[in-house]
Amino acid sequence: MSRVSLAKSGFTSRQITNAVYEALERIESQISQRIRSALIKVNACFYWDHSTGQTTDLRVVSAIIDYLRDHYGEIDIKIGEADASVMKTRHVFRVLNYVSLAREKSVELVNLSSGKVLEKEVEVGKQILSLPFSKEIFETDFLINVPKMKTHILPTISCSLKNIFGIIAEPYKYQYHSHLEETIVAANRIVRTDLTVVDGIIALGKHPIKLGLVAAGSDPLAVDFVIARIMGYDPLRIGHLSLATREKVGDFKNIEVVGERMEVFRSIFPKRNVAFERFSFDALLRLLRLYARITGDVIPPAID
Amino acid sequence: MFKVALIGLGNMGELHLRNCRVIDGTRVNAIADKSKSSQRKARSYGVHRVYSDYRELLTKEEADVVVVTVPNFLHKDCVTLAAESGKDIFVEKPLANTVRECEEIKRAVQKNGVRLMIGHNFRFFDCVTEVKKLIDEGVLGDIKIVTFEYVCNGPFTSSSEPRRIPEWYFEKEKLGLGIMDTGYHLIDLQHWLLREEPRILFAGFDHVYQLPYEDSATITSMSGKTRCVTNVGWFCHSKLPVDENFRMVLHGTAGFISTDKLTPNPYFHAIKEGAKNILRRMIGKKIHPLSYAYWSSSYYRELRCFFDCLKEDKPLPITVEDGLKTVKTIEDIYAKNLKSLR
Repeated sequence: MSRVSLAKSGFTSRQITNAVYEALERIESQISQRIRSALIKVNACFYWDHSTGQTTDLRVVSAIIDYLRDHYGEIDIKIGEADASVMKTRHVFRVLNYVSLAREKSVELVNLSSGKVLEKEVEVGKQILSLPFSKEIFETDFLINVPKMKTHILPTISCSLKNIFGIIAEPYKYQYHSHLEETIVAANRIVRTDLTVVDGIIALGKHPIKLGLVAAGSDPLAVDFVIARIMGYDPLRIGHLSLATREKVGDFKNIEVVGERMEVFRSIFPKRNVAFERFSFDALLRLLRLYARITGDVIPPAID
Repeated sequence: MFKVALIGLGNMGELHLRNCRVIDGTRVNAIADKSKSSQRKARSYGVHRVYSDYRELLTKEEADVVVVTVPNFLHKDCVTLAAESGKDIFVEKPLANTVRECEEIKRAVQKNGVRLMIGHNFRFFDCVTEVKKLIDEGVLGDIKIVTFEYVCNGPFTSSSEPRRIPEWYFEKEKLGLGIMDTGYHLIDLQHWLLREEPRILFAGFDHVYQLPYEDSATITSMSGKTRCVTNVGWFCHSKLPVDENFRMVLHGTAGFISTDKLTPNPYFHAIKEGAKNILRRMIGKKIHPLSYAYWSSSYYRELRCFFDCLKEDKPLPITVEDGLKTVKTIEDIYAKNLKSLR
């Protein structure tokens, strides 16, 4: 049985901390163990504030650190993120104020694209994929995934499994976009998270929304199934989730939702028609390129 | 035929290169950029004289015109050297990072008798030229209050597609003007539309992100007897190039106008202008490049204007003086009135 806990939060630091504690305490039996170190993988995919619905809220991270210290004492805690095609972790930690948080909470910031990298192979479907990961990920006692709850033009939802795609050490992740679903699943088969805490305080659907949700669970696939349903999607129709079920990344058949009802959040989440957006964006770009070919007109590089 | 050398092939360089290719009587013969990927990009555009050092380009190339789109902190050295090599210059804004650097450029331009225009593309937005006409014709009466606003992603691009941010944007010294790198456009418009040196009354700055410089500012000033409020920021998601969160609101004794009212729906505009271009092509006429892209078309028009002025030996509409005045006002803003909004 995979338990996923949902907690309703307000929008002040105190309320967010309470919601994180509430969500974690409801699944405590599934996560309790003795640990000496923890690595928190946040979503800091770009230089965007958490209020845009794109990146993890620092207050959620701060509450998780407090929870870990309360339960496990003075353990070593690190916050990690890996470089992306157009984002550099050393800048994003500074721009999004992780540097101050790390100082305040005495935790370490790690760039998961630098340092020792291990190449790991895994078979997904009939493909063998080889992906690089920082050694730090495998050395920590407890890996905590703290994704943002958001929709995404490519995989439809970006939450627990997609955030682990972001942990791949290779910065140029565009190269995986041609086989994104397989890569997401491969990354999740290689990197097993111990705990997932979803930041849905401000989530991203058709637009950012003050959803006030903190979700937690030890099975990332179960968490994503619940989040997808809250967003109004059928999880089995989302490519990477469907593939993850076939690859047995987690248990999607026996999910127990505890705490708040999903309906509380589903009723206010602004569902985004990702498939239509994808189609219209592609169609517009094709039309524009056709127009440019016919007329010889210029396409600004920002669009092209 | 103008032989053009382009220095710097980042985003702006690539846009100017594409525009040069559709301007009659111009040919980009050489490009300088130290990045290997930009050098490859240059070759993909059919430009095969590619240099990694702009100094070498300026020494070896027999260009008539140099288009400079290097990072801000290199403007002074690059433009000065281009002037000394006797070439006319189009330089992206800002002219330079400091008044002292602008004055050095001014001396080099005057001493070598070359012509220089700065890329103040906001002057070429249709809505802005229309406002300028209304002011000059007196339709709005005496302008008493003006609000200038430009709150965008800044270097952080649109929410739909993140783009690589050049490293120099994270270094205060290299970026130079901080948030006023964007505010520069609004200060230039204030100078140009109201024709008075702004007197800064208040300037407050704020940080939304933890950048090494401020990322939003509010400035109040007087241009003669006109009160101006300028809001500029680098924190707002806008989906460029469709949504440009720019506006001016002018209140005069005889009327008022907002550029929002003068700006068409960008999608309808694109369809209308695109269809016109297809028709032009079908009946064998020349197209109007970039006219479908409401905001981006200003880049084509400014460059076109520059080459037209050179061809017809007409005075350039934006000179070293304009760049110098704008940077001077920005230095006033930073030096005299720096206040935190918190």
